[in-house]
Amino acid sequence: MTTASSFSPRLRTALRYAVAFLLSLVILIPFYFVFTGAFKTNRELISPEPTFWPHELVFENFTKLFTVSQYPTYLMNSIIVSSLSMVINVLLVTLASYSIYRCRYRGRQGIFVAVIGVYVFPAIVLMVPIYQMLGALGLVDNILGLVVVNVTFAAPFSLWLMGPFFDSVPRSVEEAAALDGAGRLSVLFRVILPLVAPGIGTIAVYSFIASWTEYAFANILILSEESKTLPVGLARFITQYFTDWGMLNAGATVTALPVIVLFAFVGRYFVESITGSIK
Amino acid sequence: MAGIRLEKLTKKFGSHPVVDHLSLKIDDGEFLVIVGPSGCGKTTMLRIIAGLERSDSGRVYIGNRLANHVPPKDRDVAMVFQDYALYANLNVYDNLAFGLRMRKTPKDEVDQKVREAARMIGIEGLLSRRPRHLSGGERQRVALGRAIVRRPVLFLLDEPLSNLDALLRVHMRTELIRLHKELGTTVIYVTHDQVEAMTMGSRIVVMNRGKLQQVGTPGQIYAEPINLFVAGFFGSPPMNFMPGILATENGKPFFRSDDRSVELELKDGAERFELRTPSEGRPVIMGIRPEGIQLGAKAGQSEGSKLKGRAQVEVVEPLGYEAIIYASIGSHSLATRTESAHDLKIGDLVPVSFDQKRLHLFDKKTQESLLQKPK
Repeated sequence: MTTASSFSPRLRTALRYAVAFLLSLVILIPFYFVFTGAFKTNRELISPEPTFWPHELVFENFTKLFTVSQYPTYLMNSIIVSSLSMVINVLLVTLASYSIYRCRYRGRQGIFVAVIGVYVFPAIVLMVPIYQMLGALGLVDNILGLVVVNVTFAAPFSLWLMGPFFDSVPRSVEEAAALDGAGRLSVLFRVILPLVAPGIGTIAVYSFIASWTEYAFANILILSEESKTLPVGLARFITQYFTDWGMLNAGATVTALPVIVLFAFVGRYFVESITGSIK
Repeated sequence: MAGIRLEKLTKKFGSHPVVDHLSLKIDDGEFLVIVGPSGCGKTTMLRIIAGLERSDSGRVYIGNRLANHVPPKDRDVAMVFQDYALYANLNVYDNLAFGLRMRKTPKDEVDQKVREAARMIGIEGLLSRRPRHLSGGERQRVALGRAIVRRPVLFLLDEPLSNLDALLRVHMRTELIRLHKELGTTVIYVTHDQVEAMTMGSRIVVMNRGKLQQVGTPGQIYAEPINLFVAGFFGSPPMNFMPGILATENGKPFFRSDDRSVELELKDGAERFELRTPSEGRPVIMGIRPEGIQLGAKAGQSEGSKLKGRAQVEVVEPLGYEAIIYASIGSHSLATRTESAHDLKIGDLVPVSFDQKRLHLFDKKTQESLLQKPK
């Protein structure tokens, strides 16, 4: 006979799974339709009865995407912007976090607060001044301007993310290295950085994805077609008179790929650092 | 190898002095133990010697070289940290080799030295492992290995055994003593554990509140503590203390406890103690170690002073080879140590005597010992 006490934990587990399943459905179903939609004909896509699986598996959406549309240009721009943003963000934040979390000097706390304070403002509030500044620098309609903006907004959060990683490295390890004959830079590069590598991976992924998906600034700062990035470019597939849904789905699928791949590699660290379970 | 000289070292955190005008000379090849309660400044002192902390004033000499402004890496000292501070990203071999590589030692020499150090501390089998795959005791050994591989002039050990279990700790104590004999390098060993201090040090430095209390051999520290703090810090169970006054009767000095339960003639008082005259009524604290008190049939047999009163047995703790007996006399509870407690039962009223040779007197105000200073 099943007693109430032995039954309820099992029921609770079942409920948990049910909730998790429903939530993942909400998230996964749109992805599913985008992904399968990339392999459907336009006729099937706009038919009033949605199909769960393509009646006819076609690849023409992808060939059109890479031959007819501007997608290759957008893709290249996005790769350049995101990679540069990632590299610069990682270099800056790694050094900055060593300074902020490990060195002792006057004003350190103030600098930290000022950097994190950037987050007080919603990015859109800074749109006008940033536009003016970049205009003065000649960086409007230039993908380098996007790199500047992306790093500006990714760096504070990245710096904050690095905190627990540095905290997990005991000071005594640095001191041991110093006594072992290592100078400041050797301590940093040979001892500390290898130990905070998961953190560096996390901020690399974070800044890449943030730049990859950034829409608002890319939409306003870039004017010419040949400098546009993917999010803006994809949006242009939807026009007033005609939308090629198949090609849009194919574009969205290709666009999502690098994000999925990156998460597959470092997703665990990313989640751990956000939820604060780093030891 | 080198001797160490500290001159009037002072270090404050805020306005609070952690190390207070500390002067000390450590001989070349010595195994010196610095002991004191937590927060007494012993670790800070070690860190100042290592160069990880700067003193506010005073000088540190390593060998004959003034080291105050020498960066840690150029002091040629090795430190073993309480948490071992191993390089988690490197395997044991690379942990040991790190210091040598930093000093641009040729590759084959690195290999030879690492293997030699690994052999000395018995970790040859672990060289390819990462620290996180080692047990606490193995990590401890790697930390030691990393220190000895460079053959520095000075070892600094900061509570290196405190994270080990009791059995391993005892084992590592003898291991460390053996290593010291083998290498002959000067060792400064910081601990809060009086047993470690007693068993390991050729000399012990007792610290409290940033101040040096006493320096001496383990025997001296135990038998002739110079103040109440040192007397109370060593020994388990600790020395018994009894507040009272000094008085004279028929020209002979004696001690009377505050509650008058203990009156004790100080037979050779004038020779053993510095009793300023007139000492009549001078407030003092009498101290006696557990082994200086005899209970029951043995009381008064040796050179003791049998007391008029009797003590009541309260607790008997048999430890096998000996027993600790807690007995009360007046308002005082006394811990005593005896080889056998067959004849003593809880509640017994038994005669008690104090061994004159093991009596201590401390001034109540200054807490200094009144024992004659050895001439």
